[in-house]
Amino acid sequence: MRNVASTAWAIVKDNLSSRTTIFFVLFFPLFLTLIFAFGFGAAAQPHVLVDVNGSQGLVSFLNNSSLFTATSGIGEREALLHNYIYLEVNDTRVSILYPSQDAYVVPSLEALVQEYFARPDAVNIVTKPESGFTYYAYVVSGMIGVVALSNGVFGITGVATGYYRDRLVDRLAASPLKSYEWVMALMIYEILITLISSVPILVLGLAFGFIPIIGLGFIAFLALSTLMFSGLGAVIFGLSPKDKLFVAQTAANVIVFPLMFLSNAFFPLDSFPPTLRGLVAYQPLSIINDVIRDVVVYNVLPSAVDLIYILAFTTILIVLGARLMKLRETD
Amino acid sequence: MQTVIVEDLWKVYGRRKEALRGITLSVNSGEIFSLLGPNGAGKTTTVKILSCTLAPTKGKVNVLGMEAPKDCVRIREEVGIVPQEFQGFSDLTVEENLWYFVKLYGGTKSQVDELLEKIGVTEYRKTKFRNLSGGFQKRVAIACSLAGDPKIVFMDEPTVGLDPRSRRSVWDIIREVRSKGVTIFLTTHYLDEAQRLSDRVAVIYEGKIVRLSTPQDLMSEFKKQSLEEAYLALMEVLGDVS
Repeated sequence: MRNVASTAWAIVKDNLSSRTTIFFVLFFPLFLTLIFAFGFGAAAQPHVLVDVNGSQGLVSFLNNSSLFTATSGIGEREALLHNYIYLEVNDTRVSILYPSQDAYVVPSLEALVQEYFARPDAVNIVTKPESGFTYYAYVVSGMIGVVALSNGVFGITGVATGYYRDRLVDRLAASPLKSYEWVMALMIYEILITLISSVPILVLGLAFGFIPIIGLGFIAFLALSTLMFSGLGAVIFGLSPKDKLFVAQTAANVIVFPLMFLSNAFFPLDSFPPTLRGLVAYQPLSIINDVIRDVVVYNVLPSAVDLIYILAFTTILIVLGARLMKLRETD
Repeated sequence: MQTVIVEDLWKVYGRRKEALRGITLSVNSGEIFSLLGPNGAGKTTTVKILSCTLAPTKGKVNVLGMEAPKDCVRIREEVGIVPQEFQGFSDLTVEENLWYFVKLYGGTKSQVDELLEKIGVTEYRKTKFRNLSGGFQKRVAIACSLAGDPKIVFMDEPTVGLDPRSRRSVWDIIREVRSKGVTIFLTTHYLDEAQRLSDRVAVIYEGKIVRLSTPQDLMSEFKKQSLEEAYLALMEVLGDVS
């Protein structure tokens, strides 16, 4: 472990002394968060999502209105957690539970519901504001997952490529440092970088009124997520030819950007075409974002299935990464 | 006593690229041994196999009485290497780079001071590696290679890209290291360097050792006044037109 600690220290100090690294660690994620927060924030949201329970006809009616995007079957708790307006239809009574920031659309929704039931006062509408979560909370928490992804994959491939280019790896390969110690040191660096990168994003979230729930669970999960994606980075780097190091960077781009944008990091699952939803819902970044949101936004325990999925993926990727990303051929 | 013994060493990359085709050589303890040859002849591959970073495809490799790759873990603790164009941790200081490598070999902080002094970089101990001149970067690379008190140091083109003055100061350091009983295995393109420093030279050409002798014997064989001229004459005999 002594070699892991001293190598991790050297990598951390070496990289954090570089302005380029500081830019990518602190400002790039912040910049991306700002773009999404301002570009797609609640004020700019083109439509409001509604979950209707008890009337499939009302779902179609609301969708035909073009004012709302309606669905069914999410359930009250999940709907409100994910910033939906929730409608419960019971014979002559319709309850509308809505995130408080969506209050401005509730009168329109009430009018449409009345219209659907054919005549005014056909149903008794009860409206109730709930402490829903804004798009800012959604995108800030999603961005944390994106940071774990990008630092994990780009971090490993980028740092390792640099050290190969500088022939430092040739020197380390001829030293007593073991391959797994080298990979572990790189992963420790990436975890630290992810934790550092998360701070300005969460501070930005505070500026938007989002108060994240930060505890040991969050920090541990963030470390685990970064480990998972570092493992992916190690696999990519390990499989790339060392005489064509650009391949590792290109492969990292090819993998990271689809993972980033075909995930629930910036937009809810329902915003994606139905054909893509399965892929989006079950890819690792979406599962990680689900857990991060459970922990820092909704303050609920993450689902055991999600945690098992992430632990399994992390184990597989770390084992594979450590085997493939060897310092030397003789290991 | 021989520090390195290589017999019928082959290295094949992929399915067909034969980098080494059965080389045989030995290096005596305490000598400066230079491996010369054109680009792509197999010099770096040889160094990488001897320093236990590449596995041989076939053949016998014995370093300090240990077999590679079987005993590579132990061999790596006993050898030092100066890779071609080594950059170190570029944003760490000279002292931090040295301390890192000393720790890898289980050394103590006092060894950092000794190395700084030995290589003549004490005044630059707080300077970041990337802010050093090429000559001083090379000195630090050599200091890093000495971190574990190695018995043999492999230097892969240690003076490439240096100005004449820096090259000469690196030569002085190499001689100084050798004077402490450390065996030096050098690869170089600079024939004057090999002539001045080496006790023996081997010429590798297309993965085969084509000459192994002292610089003087090689010059005598081709009746030339310098190793460079003798080497060029040998290349001509071999039909090398590059």
